[in-house]
Amino acid sequence: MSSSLQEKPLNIDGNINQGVSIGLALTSNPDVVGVELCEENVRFSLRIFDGEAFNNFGDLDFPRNIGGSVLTDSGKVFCLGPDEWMIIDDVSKKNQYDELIKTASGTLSCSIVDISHRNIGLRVSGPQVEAFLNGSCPLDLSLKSFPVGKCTRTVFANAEIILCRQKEFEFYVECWRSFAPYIVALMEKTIVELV
Amino acid sequence: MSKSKIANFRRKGRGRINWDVPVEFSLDGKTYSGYEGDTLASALLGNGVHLVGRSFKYHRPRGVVGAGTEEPNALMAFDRGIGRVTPNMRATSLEVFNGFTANSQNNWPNLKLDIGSINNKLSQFFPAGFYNKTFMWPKSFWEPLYEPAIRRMAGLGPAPKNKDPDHYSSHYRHCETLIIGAGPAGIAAALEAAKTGERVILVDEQSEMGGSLLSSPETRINHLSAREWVEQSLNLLASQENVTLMSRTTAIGYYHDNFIALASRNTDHLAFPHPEKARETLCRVRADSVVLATGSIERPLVFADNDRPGIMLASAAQTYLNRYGVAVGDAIAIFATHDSAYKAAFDLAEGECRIVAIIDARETIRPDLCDEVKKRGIPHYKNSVVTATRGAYRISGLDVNGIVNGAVEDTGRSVDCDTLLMAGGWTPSIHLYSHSKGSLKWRDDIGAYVPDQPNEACVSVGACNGTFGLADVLREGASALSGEGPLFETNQGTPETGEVFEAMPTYKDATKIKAFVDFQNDVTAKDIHLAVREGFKSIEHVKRYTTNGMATDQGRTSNLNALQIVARATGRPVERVGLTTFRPPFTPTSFGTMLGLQDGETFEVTRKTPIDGWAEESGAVFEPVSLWRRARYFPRDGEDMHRAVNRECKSTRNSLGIFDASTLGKIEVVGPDAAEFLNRIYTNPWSKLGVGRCRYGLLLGEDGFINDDGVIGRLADDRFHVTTTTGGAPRVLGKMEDYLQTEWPDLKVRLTSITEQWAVIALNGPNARKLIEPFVEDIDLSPDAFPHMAIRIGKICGIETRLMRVSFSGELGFEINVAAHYGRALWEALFEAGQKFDITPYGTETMHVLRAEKGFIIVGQDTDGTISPRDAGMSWAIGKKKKDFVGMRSLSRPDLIGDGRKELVGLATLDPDLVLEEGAQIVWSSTEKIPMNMVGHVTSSYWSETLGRSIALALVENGHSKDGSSVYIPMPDQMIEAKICDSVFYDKAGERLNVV
Repeated sequence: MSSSLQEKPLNIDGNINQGVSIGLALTSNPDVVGVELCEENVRFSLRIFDGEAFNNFGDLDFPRNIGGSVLTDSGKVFCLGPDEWMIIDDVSKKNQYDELIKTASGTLSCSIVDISHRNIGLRVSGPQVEAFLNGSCPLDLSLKSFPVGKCTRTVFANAEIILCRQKEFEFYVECWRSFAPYIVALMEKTIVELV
Repeated sequence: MSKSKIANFRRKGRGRINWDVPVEFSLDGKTYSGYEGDTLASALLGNGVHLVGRSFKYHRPRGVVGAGTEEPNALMAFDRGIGRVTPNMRATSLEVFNGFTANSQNNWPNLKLDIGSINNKLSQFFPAGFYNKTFMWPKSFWEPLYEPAIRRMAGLGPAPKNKDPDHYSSHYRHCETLIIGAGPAGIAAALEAAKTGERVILVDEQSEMGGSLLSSPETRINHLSAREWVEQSLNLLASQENVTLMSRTTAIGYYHDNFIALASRNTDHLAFPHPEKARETLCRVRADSVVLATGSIERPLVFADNDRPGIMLASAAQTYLNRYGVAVGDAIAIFATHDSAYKAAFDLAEGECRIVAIIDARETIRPDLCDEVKKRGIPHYKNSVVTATRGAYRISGLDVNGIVNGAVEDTGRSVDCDTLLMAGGWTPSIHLYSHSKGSLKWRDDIGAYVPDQPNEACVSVGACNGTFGLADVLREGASALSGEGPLFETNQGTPETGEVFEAMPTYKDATKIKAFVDFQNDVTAKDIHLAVREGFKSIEHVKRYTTNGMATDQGRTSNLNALQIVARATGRPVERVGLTTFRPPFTPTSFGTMLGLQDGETFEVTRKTPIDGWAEESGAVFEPVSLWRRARYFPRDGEDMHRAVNRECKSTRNSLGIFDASTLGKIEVVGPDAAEFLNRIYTNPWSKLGVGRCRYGLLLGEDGFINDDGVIGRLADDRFHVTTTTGGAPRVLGKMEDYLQTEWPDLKVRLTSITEQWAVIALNGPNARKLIEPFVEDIDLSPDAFPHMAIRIGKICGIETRLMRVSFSGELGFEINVAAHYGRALWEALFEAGQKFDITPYGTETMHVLRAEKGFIIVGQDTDGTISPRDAGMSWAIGKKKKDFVGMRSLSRPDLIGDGRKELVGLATLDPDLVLEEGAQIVWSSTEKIPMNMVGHVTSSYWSETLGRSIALALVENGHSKDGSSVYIPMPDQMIEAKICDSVFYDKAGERLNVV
């Protein structure tokens, strides 16, 4: 336990503004798209060694197809690979997840790692959202090829992203925090072209 | 140029230009007028100007030859202001507007008086391979003399000097059908494809879609005029949501899996482009199927002095008349080996152009064509050839000689003319098809290669497929996808045919005439014959030796003539001679387009840590480390790096330094087999590392050489916090994944990058513990409870932390990991509280000095991919009882344990004030004769303020056994002597780690 507490501990406000912390300035154009930084989330990378592991997560619903997602009001679960899931949820549920993780880790049936601050999420929506993302993402984003609910790890120019279609005209883009300014700068250039 | 003269060349009412909107433009400082819709070439021809450039080698006057991207001569520097000069633009593709400015190239002082044209007089000294042969010797002349002179002479336009201020963009697109070329075949294909309701993209490189149909107004398709059919078809396509029409867009490359690069020119044709919008756009398309409808290019004829201004392609003359309302001359002669010449002649005659002669080299000519010639009263020279042309800056006449029994008569007759049109048949444009690696077959009847077996999901239709009758072309286009398209009715009668002549026969000595094959590179038939005589048999070699088919036009007009000359000269069939490889881009493309959106700040990612903003506000000087930018030092009061680093080092050793280590690579290794996995990857043993303890890990390649290193902490039985070097992070994770997925898929362990999850603040110095003590909860910081090389989970300032007690400086040190978004807030809190310890922020430079004083290596600086742990003096890092790890077997290879290895040592210069240069070579003796035997090099070298002298690390042959020996470092101005010493310069006993 901490030794000499000569001074009052200085506590840092838990509600730090991640956008300011990364240095993002977002612009939007209603005729093209809106780009918003998502509220702060908890995020976990889950790797399953054994199907039993799912039982440790209570009633959390997992997509079972690679590229599938379960989208709820507060959170999302992506299936990114044969044994790989990403859980994103409201930051207020951190304690709940910490408990879940303790239990799950104890079973040695999975690897679960906190990456809440590693990534940030961008919500991109608007009438030209497909063309907008195709400014830097090489995938076919037509509704037929990339239906609502589909998610995948892909690239945005030189940066890796996770992309999920949440609605017909709304996508979720997730990236590592230090890549966000680069991605947003590319997005701004693309908006100019689509206006 | 007088107004009346302009009127002479314009044919009002013809063409598709906007006669109501005249424009003024300037070439070489002279003002001309044209009309909206004109290209620079058509506007100049409308002013009677044919002379537009000088040739590359001989500086001969040259005129416009074509009307499209095949144009070899009319290359211009298009000037849109400072930083906006684009050289080598084809006048045939530039669209004029009010204020348009361009300059001709490759001439000095001006077009008419070009000093370089002396080369023409000296041409016997400029044979094929001239440069290769001449500038070989003496070698010392190359750099100061030959190269600058050649560069000046070989002008293909001025290289831009200023930064390009324009914007460029790029994007991806997908479609079921991409159709390249919007001529009759392409439009017919698009009409059918559009019916499927799937996505269709139709692209065309010209400003207006329609291709050859725009140049043949007399043509009728399904009872509509060609123009009506084009207009109706394009309107129909434009009205369909699934169809995208892209004009001014060139398909520049055809890559694997139907990936096609399209370059769109958005603004060059506008007088006032939108300042924010992209000048050009690179569109990368992935298509399910591709329809190539790229048409064909008319072939020039090879005969003496065929390069004078006023000598051009017959089809180009038709285009100038029918699209731009321009008559290319007052007295036009036509030299033909193909029926298409006649259509051109009659067309031009209808356009009030005077045809003074049709010279046809063929013995048999279609009687209906002969009748029509006769009816129109045009002098017709059958079975005859042009053997000479006259005129300085414009053709003024030519000699026609008959062919009798296969031989050209030496007496002929002279014909006066101001224009000579060449109609040598048609070459299918197979460039894109060839990019896609489709196979070709030779067709003797048209003397050209056509597509055979495609390699991608693509279909070639129309002229690019060797199909020439309009009805057939349309049907082939319409059938491209379904295989069963509709029939079309046209008024085009018998299909046109021709004869192939690789070079026109003459009675003259072939070695004395200049019959140009490649106008752009000044390659004559004689040059090609010479190359063959000198032993070049492959067309690829002939191309490189003569430069035929190189430069901006990529041999559009010259390739097949050259090919057939080589075939004839070597007595082989054309198929055996081969064909040069077509490579992207199809037409010259700006660097801006290739960059697209990825220019300036988006050229490459610049990663910044959560604390970067503080460093910037505090005046840090940054340096790039892989994609990261890191604070290098924090100068105060105008300090230079040297003084700032001295202060930072001293302060850290005396009291407390704070350093942003967030960029360190971090990998969380989790699973019941985590320790076993690390055992196999790292040289060190991990099974017995206790929870809460850290160990230095060394990572080798299969070759036994050091790859990476870092401290690894055990958080739980099944959970490790692995750190890597900053630059090595992605490589190490990739390598680990590779082994895990391919070699040991049975291991229950997974790897997650947590580099960016954690901001890392390193505190080093005797006061480090004192600073954090008040802020830390749930961790006993006392030295016994939290020893060196330990890791604890607790809280600092109320934030969860993974606190490590480690040191890369030799001082008491802590690395505080907190979730990234809190990094800066914690840094600021610690910095404020640290003022009483005179806390000093330091950067990578001080970090380097501090570690060098302790002899800690930096992988990639003190190692170079050929250094084993033993070489680096780190055999201690190898688990002696381990059965295996990556690289273990290589460590016992004889060459890795034998004598003569370069080994890491310390160096102390005799003069303590002398700081060696990193990378400097090391020799044993100062008196050795040059070339000296180099036995090693300096890897790290710094001034150590702490020690009051310079220090260095070096790799030296057998260095470990040479302690105390002298070595010499030869520098340009002096020979520096140093002694080999221990690589630990400071606190050899390591006592400072344990300051309480």
